Amino acid sequence: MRSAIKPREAPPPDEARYRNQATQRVLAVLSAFVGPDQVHGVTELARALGTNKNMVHRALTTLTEAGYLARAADGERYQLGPRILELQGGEADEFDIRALCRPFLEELYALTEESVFLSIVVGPSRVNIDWIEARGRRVGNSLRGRAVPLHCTRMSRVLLACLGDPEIAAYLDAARPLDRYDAIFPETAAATLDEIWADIRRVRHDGHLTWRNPQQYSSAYIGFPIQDAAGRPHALVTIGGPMERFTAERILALLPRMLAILEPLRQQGRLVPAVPVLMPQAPQ
Amino acid sequence: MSSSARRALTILETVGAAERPQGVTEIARALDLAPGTVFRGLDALERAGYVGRYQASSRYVLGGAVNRLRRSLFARFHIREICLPYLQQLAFASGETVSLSVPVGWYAVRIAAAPGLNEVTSSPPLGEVRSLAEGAAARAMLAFYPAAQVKRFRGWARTRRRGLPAELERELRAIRERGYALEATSFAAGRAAVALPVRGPERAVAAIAIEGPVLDLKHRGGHADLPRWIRIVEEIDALVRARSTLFANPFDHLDPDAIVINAPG
Repeated sequence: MRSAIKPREAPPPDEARYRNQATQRVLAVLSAFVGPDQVHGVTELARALGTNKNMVHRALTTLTEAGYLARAADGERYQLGPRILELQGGEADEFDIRALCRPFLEELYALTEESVFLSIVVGPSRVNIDWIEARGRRVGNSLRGRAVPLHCTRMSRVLLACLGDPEIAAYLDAARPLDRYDAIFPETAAATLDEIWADIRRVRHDGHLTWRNPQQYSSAYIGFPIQDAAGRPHALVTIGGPMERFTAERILALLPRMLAILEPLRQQGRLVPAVPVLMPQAPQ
Repeated sequence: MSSSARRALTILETVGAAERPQGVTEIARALDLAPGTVFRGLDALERAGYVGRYQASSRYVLGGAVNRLRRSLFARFHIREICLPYLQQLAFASGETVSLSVPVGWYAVRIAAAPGLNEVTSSPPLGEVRSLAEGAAARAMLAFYPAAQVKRFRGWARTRRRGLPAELERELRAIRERGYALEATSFAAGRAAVALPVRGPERAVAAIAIEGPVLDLKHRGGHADLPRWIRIVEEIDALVRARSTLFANPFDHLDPDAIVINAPG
């Protein structure tokens, strides 16, 4: 038994490590509540975290007593508690898509060593807002700051695919004649409505789009939309490289790792509603 | 539960409440703990992403995991998704930043905003917490609470020692008559920002605030476009009446008296 007058000592290293593990388990339980509409019970949390129910129960009690979790409406399970709101002053709360995506662009560059681009929808166009260019022969961002119509280039179409069908139809109607920009964007010259809708279906089915640009120096690309919980577009992450290096086989081989890198970003995207896309009205 | 976990949460709160990045010694002094204990707590918090080093220094700030939890909490209010296009519409129409606040217990929390057209803005952060008596957005909601709940709120404010303005009742009555709340701005004399309640079947479920000094208090009606802005918010009212489950507040099942948020500031 510890004497009341004994000076406080640091615990032996083993005990300290054990305590730190206990703290980390509590924090892991709290982190399990990241995501839209997270309501969890003891059993499912224990299963998800690979730990025993007793430990999860104790963690939930600590976190509930501290106000970071609260009982859910069913009285059985748990949800985030209002006291989370006390924790302010970290990184800016505003959803800065460029700052948020930057580390993921860097990771994708480290994985592929090819150029990586971040684009967003601005009105009826795609605009690249950040990029990392690979070294040597590479895909470059030759159109810095240029607004590319959402049906021109396959890259733009990945963003177009995230809009609703009536919205896309209205956009395409307003964009006629579709060959207006063919001289500027030869990649998708002489495109038909069917081709555009086929790309849209592909993005929606696969969750990404791969394509080649046969113009001039041949290059290959893969684009991943970052969407909110309703599927609306936050941004597009594209990786592109010269075809002799960034082959279809290499893209396919890297795909699982690209998806693994992007998954936390996609999760965060689902937490925040995308900025509404404001389209000019079609001429009457 | 291990006291080390509780201690780590206290360290997290200390880092969160501090006005500048905190070092181990500062935290140890503030909490009367051994520096080694604080260091271990910070180590666990840093591993889980709850704190991070400020510009690669030995001082700490809150980490990305905290922000993800805050966003997850905001994401539980589906009213946010529904209102966002309306907020944008109002921001375009008024030129000012327009925000959405919801009640959490006896507090109002600012959970979404659409930026206005001004180059210089002075908006409070998302997640700003004020009592239901503070600020136009909060009062716009409180004014459309049943009298019994307003009375209960007053009791809560008394026990929490949160001062209530003497003229609160009179002001709530004025808001009910007018249909919206006003807030004077310090940098534009004679003008006021405006907050409009989003009304559910029993009480206000949110408030939408046009945060700039849009209303001219010397002129009747305040602004020629005010009726149009009111109509935009009335569209949301109609949605609430038609589909109230979409607007469910994820904290309404909790006892409001038991919700305590010690917001900074």
